[in-house]
Amino acid sequence: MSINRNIRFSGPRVYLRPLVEDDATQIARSAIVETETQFNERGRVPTSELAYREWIRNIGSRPDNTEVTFAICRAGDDADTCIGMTTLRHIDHMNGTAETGTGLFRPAGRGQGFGTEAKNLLLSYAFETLHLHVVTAEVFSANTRSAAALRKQGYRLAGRRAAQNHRAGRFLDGLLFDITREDWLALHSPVSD
Amino acid sequence: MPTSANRLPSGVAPYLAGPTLGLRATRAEDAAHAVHWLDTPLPVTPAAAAALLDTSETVGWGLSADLRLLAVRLETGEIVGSLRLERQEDRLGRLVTFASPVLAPTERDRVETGIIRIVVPWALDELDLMTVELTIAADRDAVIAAARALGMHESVRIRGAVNRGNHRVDRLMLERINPRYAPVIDRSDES
Repeated sequence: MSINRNIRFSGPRVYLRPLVEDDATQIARSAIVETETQFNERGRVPTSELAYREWIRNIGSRPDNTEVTFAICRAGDDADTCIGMTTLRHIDHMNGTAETGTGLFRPAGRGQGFGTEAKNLLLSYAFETLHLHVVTAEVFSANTRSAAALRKQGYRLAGRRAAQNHRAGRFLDGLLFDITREDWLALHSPVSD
Repeated sequence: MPTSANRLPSGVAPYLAGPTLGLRATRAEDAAHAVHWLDTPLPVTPAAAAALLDTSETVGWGLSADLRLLAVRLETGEIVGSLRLERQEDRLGRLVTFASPVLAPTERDRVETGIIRIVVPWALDELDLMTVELTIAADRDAVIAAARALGMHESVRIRGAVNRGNHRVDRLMLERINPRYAPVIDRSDES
């Protein structure tokens, strides 16, 4: 694998690297090919690639370092294509907390463990490099697949928040999960960088 | 509760006044006293606070998604804290309360308690929000008791999310659902 790929973390089937501007093409395309409606809090909305290019350009210019986003790529893909993103946001270094979010762009790529592997790499970074104490993730109550994936990964249900999403004439709750560093270390051996 | 605007500090409306505290909108000169109202643990210079006011407080007619109000003593007009009401989709409200760090802990509790007693009924009634949510450390007993007395209940508990230096406490989210909207919130999957 080329050292020019700027890989930050590697797993058996995926690797994580910083986003580059050209990833905007895949991100913009994801709203067009998406077939599942329960992931997006505002529905599937085509958005200009220009918006994502601007967003990627601005990454790293935030003065407060409260968000880290990685591109997810398939191991062995010579094209280094971004197939999804995994993010730590609202990083609070004083309290050692953050929120996670992970998504794969194409429905066909889901359910094969790529997202879970990418999330594991992110959690390893959160707990073993940043030394965070607890991270959270929130999904809408109708998103049973993501809720099951979080539970399988070791997250526990921390509670539910009323009416976080609106779908098909109903207001649905948000389910908030948390996983502590202690939980993580009990489940996983440290991953070397 | 004072009912005449003439007896309140400048800028405090009667509908946002309690027995001893009131809430008012920001002014340019508040930048010089940011330590008492800006909810950040890091110090901010008056110049930075002025720049923040210039960018965050320039949406008129109460249309900003992030509403900032300062808490002042009714007797003196002294700034003792603040409230940020983060509005999501104009129907969900998240309260961020702040009391001046120069106050004693019990006084900070009184300020934040006073703020939520004023704002929760107003947000549910006049702003017609579906829910109002307060995030707070689990060891803030006085503020939690006041929130419960306002009908808020614990909806989320995040384990050990608040660092107290030599120990950790949980972070709670307390929530009040507007009774007007409870019938349209689907909780059929709740076990």
